[in-house]
Amino acid sequence: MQLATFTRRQFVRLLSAIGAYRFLGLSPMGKAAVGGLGSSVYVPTFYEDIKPLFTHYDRIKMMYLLDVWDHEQVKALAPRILQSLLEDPNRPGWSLLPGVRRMPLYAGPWTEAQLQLFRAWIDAGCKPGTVPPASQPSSRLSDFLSLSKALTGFDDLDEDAELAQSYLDLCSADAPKDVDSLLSIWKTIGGLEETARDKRIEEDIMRDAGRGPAAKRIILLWYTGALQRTDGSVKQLKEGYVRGLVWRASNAHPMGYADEAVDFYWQHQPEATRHTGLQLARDRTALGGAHNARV
Amino acid sequence: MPVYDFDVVVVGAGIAGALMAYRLADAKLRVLIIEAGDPLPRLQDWIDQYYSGAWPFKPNIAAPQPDDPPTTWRDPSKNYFEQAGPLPFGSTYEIRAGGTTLHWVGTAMRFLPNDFKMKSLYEIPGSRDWPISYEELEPWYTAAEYEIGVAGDDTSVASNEGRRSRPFPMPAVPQSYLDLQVASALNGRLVNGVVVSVSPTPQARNTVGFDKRPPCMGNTSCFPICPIRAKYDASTTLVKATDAGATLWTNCVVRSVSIDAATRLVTAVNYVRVAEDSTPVMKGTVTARAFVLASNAIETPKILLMSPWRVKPDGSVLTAANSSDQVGRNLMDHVCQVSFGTTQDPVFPYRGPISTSGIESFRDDPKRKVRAAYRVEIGNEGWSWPLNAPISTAEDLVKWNLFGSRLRNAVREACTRHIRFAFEPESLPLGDSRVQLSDYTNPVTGIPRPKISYRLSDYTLEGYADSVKTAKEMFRIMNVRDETEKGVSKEQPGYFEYKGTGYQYRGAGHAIGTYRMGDHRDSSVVDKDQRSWDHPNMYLIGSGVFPTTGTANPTLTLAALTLRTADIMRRELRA
Repeated sequence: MQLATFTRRQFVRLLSAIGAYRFLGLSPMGKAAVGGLGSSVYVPTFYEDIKPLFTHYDRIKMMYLLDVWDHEQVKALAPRILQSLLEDPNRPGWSLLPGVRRMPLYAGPWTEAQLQLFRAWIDAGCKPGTVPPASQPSSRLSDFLSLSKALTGFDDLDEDAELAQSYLDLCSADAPKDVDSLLSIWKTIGGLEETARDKRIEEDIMRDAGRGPAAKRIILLWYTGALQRTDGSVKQLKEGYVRGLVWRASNAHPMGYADEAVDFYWQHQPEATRHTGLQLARDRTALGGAHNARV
Repeated sequence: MPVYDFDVVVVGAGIAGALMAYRLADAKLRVLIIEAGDPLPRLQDWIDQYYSGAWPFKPNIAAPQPDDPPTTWRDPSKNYFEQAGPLPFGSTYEIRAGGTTLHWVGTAMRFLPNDFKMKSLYEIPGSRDWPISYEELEPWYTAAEYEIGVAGDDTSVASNEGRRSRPFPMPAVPQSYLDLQVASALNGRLVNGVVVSVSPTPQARNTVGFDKRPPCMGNTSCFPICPIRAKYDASTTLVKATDAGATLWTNCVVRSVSIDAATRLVTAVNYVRVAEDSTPVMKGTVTARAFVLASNAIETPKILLMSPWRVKPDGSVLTAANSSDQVGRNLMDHVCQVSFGTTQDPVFPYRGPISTSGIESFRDDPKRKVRAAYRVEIGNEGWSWPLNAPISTAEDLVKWNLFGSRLRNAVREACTRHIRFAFEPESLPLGDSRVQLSDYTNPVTGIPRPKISYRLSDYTLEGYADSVKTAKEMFRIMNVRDETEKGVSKEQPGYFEYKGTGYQYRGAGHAIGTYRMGDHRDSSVVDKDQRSWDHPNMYLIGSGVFPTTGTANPTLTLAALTLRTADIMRRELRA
């Protein structure tokens, strides 16, 4: 295969030529289209250029074989994926990919420009690009997380550390003294044995005239993704809505966001996490960060 | 030969306008679609807005649209409609490319053959027969099902349904777990005098890849927006129309049609072009051989009423298409009676498409002679419609100081048992339920807003009250605790009292009847081909032509009528 290199300007022009009407109505341009004109040769990368070529729907439907939003997995199969795309990936019962009976390309075959982009990425060595950073939680965030777990009844909130930081920032900006007061009393009761702890939460937090309303705002923020600010306004975080706990508590999924691969899952009775409509949401890569905008 | 800008100008880029434009452009006619609202944005922008807690579609000051009526519905300074009452018109629509199909649930049912002959069959005063029969429309129902993509069960056809000449293009959307629990409790039972059965609903929702759109994944947000376009919306047809050569102008608000008084022909459409920031740019005029108004049952009569063309002998001004004086009259809707409650065992709502089943047993039962018939929609989205649950449920439980695992369990216990039915009684055409021009105008375009007078006949109110009785009997059989009262309040719009009982209706989004079709030019606005009796080169399409509401949502029927008219226009204009 010929080594394909582009100047950034050529690259943007090429991408503009891509028929943008894929069924998700998404631009397949990633960051390349909005980048500066600093360098003369553009090297496409996975997180900025390739991942956006795969829709949310593609991802869920091929998940049993590979995660098309995961750099390492796509890199491992890249030449075969390309070859499948160059042949007829929509021919039923056939694919060069092991185990893939059919690639779910309902928006039609990839355009020539999309194929070139994928080929250019392979030729340039399947570069990952910028991976969303994993941050270490501060002690204030750790306290907020453990308080949040006790208040919400969900003990897996650590997986949402990034969201928790947004929530902490949001609450602190709205009512800093309330948050300080909650975190300060949490230092004295957070380490207690569960029954004693819950008794103190009930008495010193939920029924407390100051801390009670603040704690309820935090609970509802986790449950719904929306903060009822003290001035009466409401701020809803998009990621918070999609990861809202009220849906998980209800054995359901957020309205407008389902990611279960089982066809027509709603005909079944939900069991634990199966058939709730939520399957991938516990997976960190599904959400958050600029590269993952297409939830 | 005069030179025309286009062969056909279609006003409105919703489903009717898009289907019409596509069929005409596909026949190599030069077609302009002129749309008052914004163009289609990226779907993801809509989704992001929805996840952020807002209505997915941004408002447009120059081409505004109604909201769900608030408690201040009578105050024209706070609403798009000037509502003169006595009751509020409860329905909304989308003014933008794609139109109201962007937020429809996707239910795509045919009318029953008897829906077309209410007057002759049931002799209901004020009711009317359609000038077209089910049999005559049947091929076009089929065409519409294949054009927009309808999933349905060919084996589940009730005896009062009409003949189907072709199977559904896609297998049925599987019924939800909740539907199956309802069916096992109710099927074959006598409820309010009728033996009921639960059946899967035909839906414009993919169950296989169709039209380059994927199958439904059960996002449970058909209303207000399908995040993967598994549900049909008119953007699909709009893209086909422009691909076939049609021109689409958005942000052009039509203010009138021009008519040649000598020939009675419509000669032009007059519009105001506005910038996307809603500042007016210019006034314009576009000419064509034929014109199609497809701006729904509120905006189409408004355009006609803004188009004077002749002074009558008595000195009054005659407006377009209105020699029958029926333009704007007979405004109807299905008035939704939403009953909801708590089941004994969990039914696991908030999963799957918003509705996958219905009870069609009351659509044409013997009592239709004395009260409105209705279909029953079974919801998969719990109490979302009446109470914005499950979010409101969590809010209520937290008020009781619940936290931790007790809160989590309480949410599960409550929300997995939420159930709701919607009963949709039919309406009768009433001359004084109507759309007129308001004295209030749009600040950007200067165009009058709609003034709406609305009331319901006793026939509809009787049907409404009967549907409450049906709901209560169903809930009793299913051991459902009826909680409908939580959604009824004297302060809310749609509250009314009938025979001493208080009720509250909600709009179905089905604006119907304001330029009805008929056999005679003195009592209808268009003929059965949807052609204006007064102006032979102007067609009015959409549910405004329906003489009666029927007992299903109007979209498939208006799509079928549109395809039929498009076929007539193709032959005529290419001749």
